[in-house]
Order: sequence, then structure tokens, then C-alpha cells
Amino acid sequence: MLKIENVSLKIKNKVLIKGLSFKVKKGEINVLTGPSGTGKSSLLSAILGFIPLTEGGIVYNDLILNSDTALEIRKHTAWLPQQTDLGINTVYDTIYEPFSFHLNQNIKPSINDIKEKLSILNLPYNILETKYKRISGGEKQKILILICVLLKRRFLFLDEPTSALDKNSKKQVFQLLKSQNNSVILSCSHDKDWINYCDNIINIEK
Amino acid sequence: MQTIDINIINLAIGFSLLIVPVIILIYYKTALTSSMLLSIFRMILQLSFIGIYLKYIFELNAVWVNLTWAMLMVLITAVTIVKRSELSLKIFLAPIFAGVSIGMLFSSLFLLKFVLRLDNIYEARYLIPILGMIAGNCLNAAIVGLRHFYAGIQKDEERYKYYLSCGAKPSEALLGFIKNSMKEAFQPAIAQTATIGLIALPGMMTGQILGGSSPLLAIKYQIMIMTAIMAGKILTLHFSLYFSKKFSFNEMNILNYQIFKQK
Repeated sequence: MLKIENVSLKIKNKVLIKGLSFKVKKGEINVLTGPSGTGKSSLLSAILGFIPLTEGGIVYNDLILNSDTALEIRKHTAWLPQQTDLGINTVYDTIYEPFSFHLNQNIKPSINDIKEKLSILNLPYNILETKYKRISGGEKQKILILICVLLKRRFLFLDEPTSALDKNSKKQVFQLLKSQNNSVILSCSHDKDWINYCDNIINIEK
Repeated sequence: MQTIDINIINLAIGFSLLIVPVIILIYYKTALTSSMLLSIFRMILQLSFIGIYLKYIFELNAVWVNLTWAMLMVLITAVTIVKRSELSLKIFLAPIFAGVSIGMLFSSLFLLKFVLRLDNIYEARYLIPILGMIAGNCLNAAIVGLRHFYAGIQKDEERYKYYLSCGAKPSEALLGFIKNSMKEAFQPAIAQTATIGLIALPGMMTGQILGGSSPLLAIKYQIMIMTAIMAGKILTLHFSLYFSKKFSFNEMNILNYQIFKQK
């Protein structure tokens, strides 16, 4: 379970979030929503420890996020950032890059595993040999979501997972994520289609 | 063979070489004339000062004076690297000083002890010039490398965070940035080393030949100094990055923007 307890967030002297609390459980797909500029993405960053909280705390199962636990907690997370230009060389290399880290070496996915997930996302197999920077924004989003799923983490954070996707693709992504019933999934979005798919909506409108 | 001395009159004649170039610069209205003459003037002043200084240091040849001078060279190199990399001097002087000390001193002293087999490796007429040549080269590589490393992390911070979020250790998340920084810093030196002697004769070797050494002796020195420079550059940048990384990230492993020189 992920608990957000009385969290306040201030960036460049501007209060974005004040006294926010909620809990999300595994097996559900949750979405943070609210108008642009309300701090949805910043909250996801803060949950990963990339932005300091002004107040409150983040609790992962039994671990409170702080400087001593951040690296331990990040062993159980995966994140789809809003900015998706993160690939190196080919799509294949991009998918395998996180599995070069010591922690992930023994969960390296097989090529069949990848192909199976590519077909759920309706992506052709030959996309693997394509240069990452040549694929479309929507394809980048799908590939990074695929990596999140392959990492088999307990906590998935998805920042605007459908911003470059059409209706069918949104459905495919939802299907893929829905199969991860052992993970706590928290997304943020203002896409109505995506919000409709999600099991639980957290509105952070001020 | 005796080195031919250059007397004052001959030096003056030497400067007459610049008359036509100055006319050319004026003719094209380049506005470079005064800065060019000023640069020549500064060179004369700086080198005269060094000449006189080295003359006394060589005559004195006391270990502690030589070592103080050597550490001063390391310090000035470190300060210059930090400043030109646009990093905060307060935060980075110590780590860069440590990195530069290891890179420069190790490669110079190794050369003096195991190649030239000097009884006294702190002998001024060997230590100072060799350290000077290595310093100049390490300086450039370290500046290029550090600038590239920190510019890379700033530009691609999202990628760095993404790797952390995937469970990478900070050292694993930084690997690609270090790789790129090293490529930028060392590629020119590798290219230069590979083509040395094909067209241009290196300055040190030319100086030795003019000074009366045999070309074969001169190339041996040149080969060894180039080797020490290559080693010095790589060690300096590696250790500078290694030590400075420890001061560049906050306790949550995120880049601390205070490390950049405030403009």
C-alpha cells in the first residue's frame, strides 16, 4: 500500500499542494486528476523522492520515504516520466537498458516475453530494431510503459500515460496494466478516457 | 653541441616578424591588433617572470621549495579547472584539488622515478618542467570533461531520475554521463597522439633539438612525456569526477543546483 499523509508541496515559493492525504492499494489503477498546474506531476516526482516535501510524509508499505530509505524504496518502483525522450540507440537497447543495472540483472525479460507484451500493445516486432528517436511519441509512451511492466515492480507511477495515445491504444495500455494485479499503480492525467478506465480517481483540485 | 644564445638585439629583430602581420590585421579592420599586441606583451612578461623564477629555483634546488612550487602548480590548475567549468569554487576546490593531485603528481613522479631514474625525483630542472607540461594538458581535459558531465546531467536530468526510479544505484545512473564526458575529453588527445610527428613536430621535441639534443634522444623524451600526459589526463578527470560527484547530489541523490557558479 502507498500512503500519502498530509503532504504539502511548494515549488519556487508557490504552494502547489496543501495537506493532501490519500491511500492507494495494489490491484487497482488509480489516477490523480485536476487542472494543469495543480502539481500532479510534481507530486509523482515527490513520491519518488525527486522533489522535497514541505510537509507530511510518503509511506511505502512500512517504509517512510526519507534519505535513508530512498534507494531501497526505488528498488520497488518504476516510473513513466512525462518527457519520453529517454531512449538510447534502438528500441531493443532502450528496453534492455534498465536490466543492465545490478538490481535487475536476474529479472531480464526473454525476447518472447517482450514480444508478447508488444502484441498486447499492438506494436510490430520489428519496432525493436528501430532507432528509439525515430518512433512516434505514442510509441515511446507505450515502450516506456512496457518497460515499467517488465520490471515487475510493486509500485508503478505513470505521468500522463495516455497523452500521445489514441482511443484504441489507451485501451491496450489499460489491459496491459490491469494484468499487473500485484502492483500499486498511480497515474496522473487529465485525459477523460483514461480517467474513465481507472478504478479510483483522486482529485487534487484546490 | 652548444645552444645558440639569443641576445637582446636579435630578440628585437625577432619581433620585426610581426610588422607585416600587424599591417594585415589593420588593413582588414579586424580590431585584433591591440589585443594581439597585448597578448604578445603578456607572454613576454609572464615568461620572463617564469624564466627568472625558475633560474633561482633551479639554483636553489631545495626539496621543500620544489615541492611547494609543485603544489602551487597543482592548486592553480585546480582553481582554473573549477572556475572554467563554471562550478562553485567553495564546493569544488577540495575535490578537484584531490583529483588533480593524483593525476598530475602520479604521472610526473612515475616518469621521473621509473623512466628517468632520478635519484632525487624532486630535482627542480626535471620536476617543474614535466609537471608544467602535464598540468597544461590535464587542465584542458578536465575542463572539457567536467563541463560536459555537468551540462549533460542538467540537460538529461529526467533520464538520470528515470534510471534511479528503475532501481539503478547512483553510480549506475551516472555511468552514461561519465562515459560521454570522457569521450569528449579524451578524443582530441587520442587523435592528436595518433597523428603526432606526421606534420607538426611537437614543441618539446623541437625545443630539445634546438637545445642541442640528438633527435633520437628528443623523441624518447617526447614519447614518454606524451604517455605521461595521456595517463595524467585520464587519471585527473577520473579522480576529479569521482571526488566531485560526492558533493554534487543531495541526500535523495538529486543534482544540487547550488554547485554551479552563481551568475
